[in-house]
Amino acid sequence: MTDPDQLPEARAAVVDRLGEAALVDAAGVIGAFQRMNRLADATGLPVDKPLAVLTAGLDDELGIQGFYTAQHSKRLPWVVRKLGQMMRPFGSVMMKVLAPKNDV
Amino acid sequence: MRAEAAPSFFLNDSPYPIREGVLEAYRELWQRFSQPGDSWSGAQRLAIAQETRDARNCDLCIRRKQQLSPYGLDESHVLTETGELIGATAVDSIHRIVTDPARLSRRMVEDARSSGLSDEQIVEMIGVACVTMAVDEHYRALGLDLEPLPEPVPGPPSGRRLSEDRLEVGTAYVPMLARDGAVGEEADLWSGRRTAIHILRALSLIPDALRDLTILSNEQYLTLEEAPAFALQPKGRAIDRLQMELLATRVSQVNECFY
Repeated sequence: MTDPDQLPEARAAVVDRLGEAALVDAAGVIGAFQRMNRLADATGLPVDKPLAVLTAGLDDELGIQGFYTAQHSKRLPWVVRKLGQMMRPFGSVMMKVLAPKNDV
Repeated sequence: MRAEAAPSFFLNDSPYPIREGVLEAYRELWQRFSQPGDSWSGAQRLAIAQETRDARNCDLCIRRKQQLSPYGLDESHVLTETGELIGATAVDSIHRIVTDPARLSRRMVEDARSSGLSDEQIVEMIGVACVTMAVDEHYRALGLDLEPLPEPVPGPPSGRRLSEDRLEVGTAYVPMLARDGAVGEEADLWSGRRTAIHILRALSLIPDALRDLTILSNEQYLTLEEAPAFALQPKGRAIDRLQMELLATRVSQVNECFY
């Protein structure tokens, strides 16, 4: 939903189903990512390599390679993408292996 | 500049229950914004915040967004009194960040450099704009009037700069502190960890800008400790991690953010 006129109805639906506190926290996450998206794209951040490997192929499935901001990240070689797709079922474990120790 | 005294009752009129941690974080951020930064004065930082707000109703930005190219219109913003404090290129950059995030490119940063802005000014500007937007969007999503901006604290920017040998150049459009660079006075930046991912390092050229971000993230989203632990539920939240990530994904999709 991107139409501000629909916001009152959307707020009421969240309060009705999840409660007022959930609405407040959901609105906070929306604020956080309005910020995070702009920060990443204003500074031209490429996707971190471990994440890029493990999500290889997902970008095509989601159709987000067509995003203009995809130019900030180099497309991985075919072999690496295939490897990433094979590793995806083990993603949470592989993230720990691929990410530098104590990384955040 | 439209500014009022620093508010002591953030979100007091909210019909919804706001966590005290959120209130404290926003109060602290407003106070930090009003102070001179490393490369902009307090008045200039608040001008950046004001331009972040004004961009949403900018006629040029609306028309520009309808163009095939984000640089398709050969027009400039008419500077307000607030805009005069930071200059035309800063105003243009802020408006692009707010209104056309899906088409941000290296050119925005290069234009800012060409106009005489330092990398430190560019990074601090992006930081203030993005944090202002995050707070304002929280209000808008709740249907609340925006909090007035505080009065600026007089004084020049500190001029503090990180030494070049600590910086990583070329990964992003702006220099960042090296992955293992959170040492000395910056030891707190990665929250005690040895290294950090790109999104955390993006503003690290201005360490206080990253600290602003951390204050905000801890309350709006997750702490640095919670973020990588996907299986754990964040403490004190009324929505769970899966719901948070669904919201994050939807916002990122609307903004066409590949990262």
